[in-house]
Amino acid sequence: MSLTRKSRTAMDIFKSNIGYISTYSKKFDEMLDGGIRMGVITELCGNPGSGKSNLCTQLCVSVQMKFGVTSDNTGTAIYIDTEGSFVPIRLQNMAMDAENHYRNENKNPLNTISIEQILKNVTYFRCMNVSELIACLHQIKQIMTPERNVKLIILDSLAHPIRSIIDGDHLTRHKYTVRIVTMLQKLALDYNCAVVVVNHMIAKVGSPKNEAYCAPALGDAFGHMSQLRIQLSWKMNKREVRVLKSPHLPELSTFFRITDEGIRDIDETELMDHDDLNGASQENIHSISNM
Amino acid sequence: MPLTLNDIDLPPNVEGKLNRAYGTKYSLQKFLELDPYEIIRTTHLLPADIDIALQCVSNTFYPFSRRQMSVWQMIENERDTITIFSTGCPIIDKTLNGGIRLGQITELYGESGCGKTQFCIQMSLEVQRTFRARGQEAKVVYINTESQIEKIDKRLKHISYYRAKTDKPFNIADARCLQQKFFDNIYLDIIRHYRHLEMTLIDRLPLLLNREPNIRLIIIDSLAAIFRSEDIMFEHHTKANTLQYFGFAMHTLCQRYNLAIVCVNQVQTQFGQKPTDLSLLSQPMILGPALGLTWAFLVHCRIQLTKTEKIEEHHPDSQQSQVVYDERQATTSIKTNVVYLRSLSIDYCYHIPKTNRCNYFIVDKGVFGSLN
Repeated sequence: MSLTRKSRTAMDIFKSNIGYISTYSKKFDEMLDGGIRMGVITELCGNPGSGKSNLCTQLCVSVQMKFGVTSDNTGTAIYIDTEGSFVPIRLQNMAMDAENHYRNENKNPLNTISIEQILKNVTYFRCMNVSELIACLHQIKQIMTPERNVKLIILDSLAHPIRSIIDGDHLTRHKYTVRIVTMLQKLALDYNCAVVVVNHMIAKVGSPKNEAYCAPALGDAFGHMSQLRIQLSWKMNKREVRVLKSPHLPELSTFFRITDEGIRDIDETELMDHDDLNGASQENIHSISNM
Repeated sequence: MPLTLNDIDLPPNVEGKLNRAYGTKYSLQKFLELDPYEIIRTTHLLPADIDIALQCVSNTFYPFSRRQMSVWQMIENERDTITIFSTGCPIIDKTLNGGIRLGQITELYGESGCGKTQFCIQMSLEVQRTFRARGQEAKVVYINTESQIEKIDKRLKHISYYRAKTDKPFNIADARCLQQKFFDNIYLDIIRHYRHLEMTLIDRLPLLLNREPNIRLIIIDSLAAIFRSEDIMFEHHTKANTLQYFGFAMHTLCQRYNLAIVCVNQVQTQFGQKPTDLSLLSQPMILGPALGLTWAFLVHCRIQLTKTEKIEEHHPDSQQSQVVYDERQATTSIKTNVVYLRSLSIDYCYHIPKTNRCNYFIVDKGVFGSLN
């Protein structure tokens, strides 16, 4: 660890190509100004069934396709599963269609990667509790070699082992959260890879009207540690994604859908049919009148 | 045997200091949970040494070489081991993309009378079938919390009688013998208090599973009854904490012993979240699953069972008939051999699309899907 680093100006950072990982849904990518960024922590929160694990799996596929990551880089992925919901067949289905999707988008089948290779490039770890997670993260440095070229680390989810700490109060949970996220931040910075952390929601009661709403779990301490916070939810029978917190992105929301092949855009015709009853919260990126 | 500091190799000066500070019997898990700065304070080791120590401890506690797997390897492994067992009906299996998956917690919820217990009883017989018949050739633990045991007993006898008949027994005694074999493979327990369930999940079940490794299914019927009985008081946050504790214990059991856990949940009315200023109607009452948001995050696959108004006629297994009055034509007709259709749909699951649903009905022989 060198104590003196070359100082960089803002122009250097502006000119350097920050890679993104596409989510394979155009509107989603546009809302995120390219996709999931490298080198920072992105937080995904949402109620059960909103599509968090599916989105993580889609990112595992898209990080390996040349179309997915901009600046012509591809890389491998690490999937750390603490909940046990990962089923490998799903990744296989997404990988099988990724070729088609790439061909449709790019019009030239520049595809030198086989499905077997896509599956081999995702490393899977199962951690049952906080200690195993800490042990796993300590050793991940060993596989972040240049040949392996890990560009994406997914932690699905962080909230589950933290909330399962039985003999601990908020302070203990906060300590573990900070420790794990600091390790992830260091990994993200040192190896310039994208880190996606999945969070849960908790039900809170708001005082003014005494109505229940859902807020991301793990508290405010964790809320500050991620660079981008995205919430997935269901709105009027459609899947919605909303930017909750970001330093430079506007707080927009858009719709997407999940098919057998993965995350895809929603059909334009479906967007036009529904009225917007709840004006305060939604704002689609493409104004509907432009159809 | 949990791993202790004794079991790892460290450079001697580091090891000496750690042993002096924590003792050789200090468990590795606790060591990983300690704050690194606290370790520096107690042992006065250099940060580089602490780093080496943590690497060694991590490597022993969670051996990377053994634990890491590429998804390709996982799929290859899954080709050899069967991770799904059938529910007894091919139509329901197709809705579930194969059946109930091992290593995951599946939840069935619905109003009373939907057939949740029927379904559980049928699953407990199906999992005993051979691998060829898409079962797991395994035993079942059935934890009952609500209904009287006689109802389950009677129903079990009925369905297992039909199952035994399909195996073409030689005579009545042989049929009874086959039936008894089905019963012998089910470990039944009655639990009425949540502390007993806690004891079961933490202590008793691991003992049983160590002694009897061929158990592949645990059914908890129903989980909601334990948390909703009137005579056990919960403060509002301890209920969520207890559920979290149970869920975590279930996850550990599922993964370590490679079994499926099926929980039965009840429903509660949920009012709409956001008030719509435009509508003057009152909020529609929707029935949603009980047990709250904490439990919802612990479940891998949530299945909803609902009653419908639909019926299917001319089913050979049913003796019922129904009189239907058609208002528009002002006629009454009698529909014979009627089965009442219910609906099964997937609320959420990682690998099953939400649009998967089917209708099913319950007859003497069991629960079967319908193509209507």
